[in-house]
Amino acid sequence: MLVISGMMNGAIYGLVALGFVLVYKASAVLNFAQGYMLLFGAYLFWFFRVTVGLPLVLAMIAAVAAGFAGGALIERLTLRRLIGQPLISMVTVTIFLSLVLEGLVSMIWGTYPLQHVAAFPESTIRLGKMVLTTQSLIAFGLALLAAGALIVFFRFTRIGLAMRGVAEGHQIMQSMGISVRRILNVSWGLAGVAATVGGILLGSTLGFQLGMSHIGLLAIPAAFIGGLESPEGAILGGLLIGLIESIVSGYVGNAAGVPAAFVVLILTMLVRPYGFFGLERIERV
Amino acid sequence: MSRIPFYPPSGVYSDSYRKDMRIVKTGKQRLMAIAGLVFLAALPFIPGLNAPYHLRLLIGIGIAVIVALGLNILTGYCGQLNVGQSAFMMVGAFTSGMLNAYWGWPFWASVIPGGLAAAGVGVIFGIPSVRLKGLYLALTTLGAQIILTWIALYGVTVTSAGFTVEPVRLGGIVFNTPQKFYYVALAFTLGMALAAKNLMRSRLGRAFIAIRDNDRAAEGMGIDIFKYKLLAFAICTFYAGIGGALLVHYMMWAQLESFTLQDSVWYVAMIIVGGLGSIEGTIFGVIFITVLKELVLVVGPMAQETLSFLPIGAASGMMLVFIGSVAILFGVLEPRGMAHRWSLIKSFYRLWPFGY
Amino acid sequence: MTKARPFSVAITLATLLLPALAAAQAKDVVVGNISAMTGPTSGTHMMCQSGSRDYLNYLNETQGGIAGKSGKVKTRYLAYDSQYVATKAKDGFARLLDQGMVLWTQCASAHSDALISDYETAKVPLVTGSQGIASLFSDWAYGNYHSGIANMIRTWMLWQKAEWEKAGKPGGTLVLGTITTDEPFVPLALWEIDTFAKEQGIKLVKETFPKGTTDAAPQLLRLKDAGVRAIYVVASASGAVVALKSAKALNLNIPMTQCAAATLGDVIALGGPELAEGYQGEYFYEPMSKDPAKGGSAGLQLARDLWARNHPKETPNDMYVNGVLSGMVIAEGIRLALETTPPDKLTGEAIKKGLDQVKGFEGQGLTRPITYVKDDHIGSKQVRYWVVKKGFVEPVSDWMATTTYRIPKK
Repeated sequence: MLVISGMMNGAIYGLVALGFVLVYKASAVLNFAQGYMLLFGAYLFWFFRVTVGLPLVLAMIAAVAAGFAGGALIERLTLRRLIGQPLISMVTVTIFLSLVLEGLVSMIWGTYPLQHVAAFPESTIRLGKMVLTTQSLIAFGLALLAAGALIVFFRFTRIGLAMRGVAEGHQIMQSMGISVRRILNVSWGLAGVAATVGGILLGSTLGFQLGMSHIGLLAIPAAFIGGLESPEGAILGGLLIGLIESIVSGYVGNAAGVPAAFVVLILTMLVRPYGFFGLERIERV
Repeated sequence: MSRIPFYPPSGVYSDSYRKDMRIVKTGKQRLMAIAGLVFLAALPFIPGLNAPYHLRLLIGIGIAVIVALGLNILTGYCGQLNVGQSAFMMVGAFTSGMLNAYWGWPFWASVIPGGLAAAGVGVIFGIPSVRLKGLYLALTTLGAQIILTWIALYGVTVTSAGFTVEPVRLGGIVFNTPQKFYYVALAFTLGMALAAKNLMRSRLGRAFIAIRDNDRAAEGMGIDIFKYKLLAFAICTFYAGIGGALLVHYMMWAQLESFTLQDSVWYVAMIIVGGLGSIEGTIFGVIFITVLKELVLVVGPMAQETLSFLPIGAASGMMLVFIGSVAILFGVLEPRGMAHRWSLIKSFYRLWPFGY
Repeated sequence: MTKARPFSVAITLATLLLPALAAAQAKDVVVGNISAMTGPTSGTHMMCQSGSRDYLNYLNETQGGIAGKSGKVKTRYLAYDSQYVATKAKDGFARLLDQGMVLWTQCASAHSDALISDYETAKVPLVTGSQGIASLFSDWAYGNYHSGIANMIRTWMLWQKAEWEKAGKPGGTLVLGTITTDEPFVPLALWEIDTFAKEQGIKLVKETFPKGTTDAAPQLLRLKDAGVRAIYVVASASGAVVALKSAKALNLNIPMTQCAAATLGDVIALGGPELAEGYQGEYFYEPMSKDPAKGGSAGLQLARDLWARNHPKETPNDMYVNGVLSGMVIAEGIRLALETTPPDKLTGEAIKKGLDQVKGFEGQGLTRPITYVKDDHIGSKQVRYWVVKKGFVEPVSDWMATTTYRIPKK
């Protein structure tokens, strides 16, 4: 039971971690605003579902589309102008971005939690002694689906391959005739999509409230342990972290799960500094 | 980091390296430095600027400068990212606070142990830097934040509840008001900033820079990377510990809530906005971010009343959007930090009207 | 690129000038509020703040302020955003003092502790509806409710014990469980609780799950295995929703009760009425989540009217009533002070004298009588448990006296 519940929780981590990986892959930036993009995506879904009153599936599609546009817009307005500048200044911009996103959410919808929306059927399934909610199953399935789609995308499509190239170096790709701008734009858009999907899932579980962005931090270890460049690593990392947390919490108590996950991680990183699926870089002097 | 060279006025020559590295190079600079010090020392007596609120802001800035300086030594000079600085601050704060509250040690005796305790913990979390680099190292320090907070919350009963701490005393003076504590903060900030500036132009600082620019090459030059990286961690977290110790004695109250991951991220933002690898830049960055954040805290509530037709909390949200956008704009316009702009202004002033 | 500099200079100047501008107006009684207006806790804090602000503004508009024998005053409500950080709260307190504050109110327990020395030195009384522990120690703090955060679970345990004895003591010993998040206030809420449980002959099983995760199943399973009769949830609303979801998935069927860190209204809004069905919680006032068709006290009606007038487009929430009640206590204190002190002499000390005379005040039926006596500024010390039925709350217990445990000062 602990295993199952940990995996379900881990699937959501994995989805959020995917967002980190998408941005990192294309621009080598750790996006501190990922949690807030998730918050914004979730509220977008709430807007389409409740304020506009679209049917469930349409509302989701609209939110995901808006999430893509939002992510791409963020890139266009801010990071586009920083191409060629030190990477660290891009990281700062993402920190400030989280302020803007939180501010936008409270400006439009207020700071008080929104009315509950059930995105998925709230039924339970019994498998012998175990009880699963449909919601967590859907989350699990979606996470796997998203990772699979991305792996295919990065391996076999032209733009996906170009993205991997862009991560290696902006100038090289530019000189090979690939538009770095467009690639960055698309990868931020995709990060927006991952955030929105995660947001819808999380919103229907935790409710729609400002604290949702907190998961952005909890998912960071998942992104790292899998290796920042690897979508499959993100999902597996998410599951692993979920598992560790659940088992440690189950046997030790006192919310020791999260710190325990970090201890495991730090030790792992000492052995495998680039995570399990990350690209090892050979440095030359 | 590209550096704009300092252009001294004609007639001022540096005929030795020692002279070239001086902080104060000309008579005018010395004059301005003294004038600045006098202004800072007299500030609590200048009407209009001496409201307790202003002084509190300045004290807050001073403490943040100390903490951010440490971070800039580690991140800006030595190139090791640290997103757990406020957790190390917490170690110093609780060590110094508990020594004071439970064993009766005065501030002056407990502030150094506070810094050393933080440095000790910092070194432990610095060990993975042997193998980890860049963003992957950030994970270790993120882990430090989470693990240390967890220990404070569940490992130690007193720290989870918060406790009262005695104010700073010196002779018969009790530094329990902003007007008085201002001088303690000022002395510490100036002292720590000067120490940082001097450390960074010594062999140590040059070793750090070599490691930052290329650690393999540095190793080839005979620098013991592991030792120096750990040393950088120790200095960085020592500064954090001192800042934390100051904070609890100033607040006269020690509590977990002042040391969150959010705060750690803000310290990183401060040094990046100010300028990595620059002592002056750190100060600029801290002031800039503090003032921006203060705008949210002050203007948001004021606007709330007039904008009551918007949802509850919308006014503060607007302020967040505003300062976030200002900061992003700043990052886009000035990606190398304020220190870069500062040296441009200095050389512009120096060379004007023939700035070519 | 040179554009950036004048910009930052302008901002610096703006903040420096702000206090000067705001201090310009005078004569009204300045009521300060320090609470988190941004960040994750801001939702509930803002509700509470709006309640007291709207009530005091309502008095200004409809009655021209607050009147006593020696005159009439209007109140002016000023707020500062502390972002739930004690340092910022202290800065805010200094700022509001500069602006002439003589009385203050807040929503976060953390602030009242860190600010004790500040408001005692400044002689500015505090009126609060939060369960901070400091209000017990300071002569300058006036609560309108509980004997402190550590008494939430104690009172609940006594209630459970009474119910269990009524049911004929099934099982021989009473086993109770508590599930908490790792939020900072939790250790305070559970302060020395094992000793208390032992004194009462209750076996208490404690479990914690991290804030922000979506699953509390392992912890709930362990509670179930321990055979608990009821579960107390010490968490904010999102934690409660996680616990409820997991309980539902496990088909737990053990009654759960929410501590006062969140209201049942919060949980209904966040998790939906279906999930919250059967969830219990405590209130020291009459909540707004009560079915409007079932009526209520005059105070509740007033709170509903104020809400409808000031926030027509939003969903009402219980914390708003908490704020209204704080506003009422503030107004009552000022009124009593005005009986003897003329309006231009209304200092913090004068208002404190007024608050000391508050006797049997019920906030138009919103709460049980509040009387402040020397060394006891806690308030009614009574609480009532409610349960969620079809998206509204209804009482499940009578008013009960709370325990009066005090967390030692150090």
